[in-house]
Amino acid sequence: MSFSVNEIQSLCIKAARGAGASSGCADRFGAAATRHLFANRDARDLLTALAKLPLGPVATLPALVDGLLLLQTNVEMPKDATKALVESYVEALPFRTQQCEAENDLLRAQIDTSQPAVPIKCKRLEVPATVLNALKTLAAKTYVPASDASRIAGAGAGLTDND
Amino acid sequence: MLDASHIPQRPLRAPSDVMRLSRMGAMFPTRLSFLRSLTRRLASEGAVLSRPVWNIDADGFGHAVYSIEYSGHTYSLVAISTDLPDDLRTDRVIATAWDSSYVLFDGVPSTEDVARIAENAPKQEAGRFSEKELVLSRANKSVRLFSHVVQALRNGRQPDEKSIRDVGYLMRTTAVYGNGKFGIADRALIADRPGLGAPFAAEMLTVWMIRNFTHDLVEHVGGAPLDRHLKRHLGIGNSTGLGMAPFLVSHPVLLNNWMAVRETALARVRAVEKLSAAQIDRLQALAVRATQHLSEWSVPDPEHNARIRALESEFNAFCDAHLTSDGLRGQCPLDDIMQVADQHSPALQELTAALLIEPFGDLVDGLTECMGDPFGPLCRPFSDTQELRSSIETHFDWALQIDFEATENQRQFWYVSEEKLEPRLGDRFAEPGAELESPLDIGRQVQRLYRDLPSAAQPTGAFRAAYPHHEMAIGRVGMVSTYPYSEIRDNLIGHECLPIDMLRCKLSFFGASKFDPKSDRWTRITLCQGAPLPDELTPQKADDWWLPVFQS
Repeated sequence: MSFSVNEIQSLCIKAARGAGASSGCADRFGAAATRHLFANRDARDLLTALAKLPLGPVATLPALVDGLLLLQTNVEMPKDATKALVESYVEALPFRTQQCEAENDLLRAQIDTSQPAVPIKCKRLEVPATVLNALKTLAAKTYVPASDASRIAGAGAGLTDND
Repeated sequence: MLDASHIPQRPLRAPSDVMRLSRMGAMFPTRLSFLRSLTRRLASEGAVLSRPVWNIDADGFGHAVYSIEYSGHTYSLVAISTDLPDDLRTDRVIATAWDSSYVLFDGVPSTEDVARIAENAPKQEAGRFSEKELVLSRANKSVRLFSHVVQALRNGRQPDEKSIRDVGYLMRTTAVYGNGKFGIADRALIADRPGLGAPFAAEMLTVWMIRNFTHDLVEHVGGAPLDRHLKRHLGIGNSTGLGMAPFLVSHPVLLNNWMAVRETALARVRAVEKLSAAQIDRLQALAVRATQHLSEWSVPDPEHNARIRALESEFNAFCDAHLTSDGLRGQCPLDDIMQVADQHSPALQELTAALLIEPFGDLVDGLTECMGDPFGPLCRPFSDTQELRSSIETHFDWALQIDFEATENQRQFWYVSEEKLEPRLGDRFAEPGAELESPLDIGRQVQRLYRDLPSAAQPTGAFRAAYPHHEMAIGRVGMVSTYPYSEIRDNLIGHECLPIDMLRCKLSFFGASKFDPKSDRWTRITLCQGAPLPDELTPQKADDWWLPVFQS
């Protein structure tokens, strides 16, 4: 099944929150996940990363790759993330990635902070069914079931919204 | 816009004044609004709306296709009109059926495309769509007015003008989806196209075309044409609830750009040194129109209606005292006018700001190019925690002063409902679900971040590694440091937070008027009231519909 990029990004953000990520880390995961899928990298990396929460790359990669924006061209590669996932986080930075490669335990990257990142433009994003279902299951943990109290208190409550 | 290397401007109003819910909740549409930009552009191109398919039966049910060439691309509205039992009609997001449903299609739909859309569009969120569909929407009839207009036309007369004036629309949209929702095209696929780079451009085009469909539909069922002045006054209603409110928090760069453009426009007109006689006449004529618009704006809720009446009275007195020929003849008269307005209510200030911008298209219309967000947040991280601390003290001073332990300051929580996957607002102490709270409590998050900062400066990388739960707060502080109008400077989980203030802000940028709050969580509005009809898309006719009034 294929999706819009925005649908998948929203789903991944919710899945990360459902898996225990903080809101900010979830947002970064959503952006990196769409880069990951757009580049046809292994979608299972995403689930592996989510499974390590509250620790692991979803919690640590945002600060790590931001170090590249503080004029650090080399940062230490995390041991609990695939190279592909790290590349996805780097590409999700707001500025343009010129080079990104792992050598031994170091991540070498050149980020051009005078240029914005090239946006993802694709008609459809493919997600393997098993990964999609797992993401949906995690995302569903963030939804609040309705109750009588919530229904009455919600927007447009009652029967007064017709004329 | 005037080709000047430097356009003088006064200082912009500060974010600490502008980014407050009480002021955002008093905003009015301006010539910078997205619908105004759209109709200006349609008119400048001489765009022609055609109707290649009209497959509507005598009772008004079936489907139709409209097409328009806009900035080098063809877009089509596929409209499906359904026979909806009265007991199924509701504006709430939990509805499962509607009087009509719509898709804005990229190009001209084939017969197969129309069949696929006719199958899925009536299902709305339960349907599936492709990248050929750009916008998805639905609308319900204003049953009383629609029936009245049909009956009048069938009886060989025009409908009652008071009804047209009081209601102002034949149908109300209850959602207008874009940017990839339910499988439709991502905005990134069309944002580079001329004409669609502006915020919500595709959605505004859709709403304008839906409005035309409602006119055609009622004339078809009624069997006679409506008078032009009545059609022009019939816009598209809209019911907007909580679903829209979190947008302002989740799109801080857009919010910043909209506000910064509007404030820059105001700063430019305030710097105009002298007004010509024609400009004075125009301002005074617009002020008269604004007072008439206010007099025609009545809502059923007594408290909100009282506020409108108070503004009407205040504005009339203000115009009599200050928008005089003498008052407008001095040096930098519009700056003087705004300084006087600053002594009055926020509602009067916002109305006056919109009024003063209106005659100066040459000075301000080009600013609309800056209202989009093509790049996302271009923020650099803080290098150390002292820099972060200093930025919090500068930009989040308002949040540091709030006691978030007090019950009333954390009374509300935002969440996403399992029922319809839509945002809702709960009472933390009366409803379940606060443990799944959506992160709109920005002020509280930043205060918590501030309390965890070390007293001595530390590299932010180390701090963030130790406190990953502060990622969002750190991001927000970085955001407002780069985009000063990006943050609402109020407590969005406090008991006093009124979501309709957030809704009104966004809807005023759409170009909405006649706000009709039904509670503090949802409102009716009218879009495209007074907007040019398809055969009025000329530069002479298409751009003079700020604060529309009924023309008998």
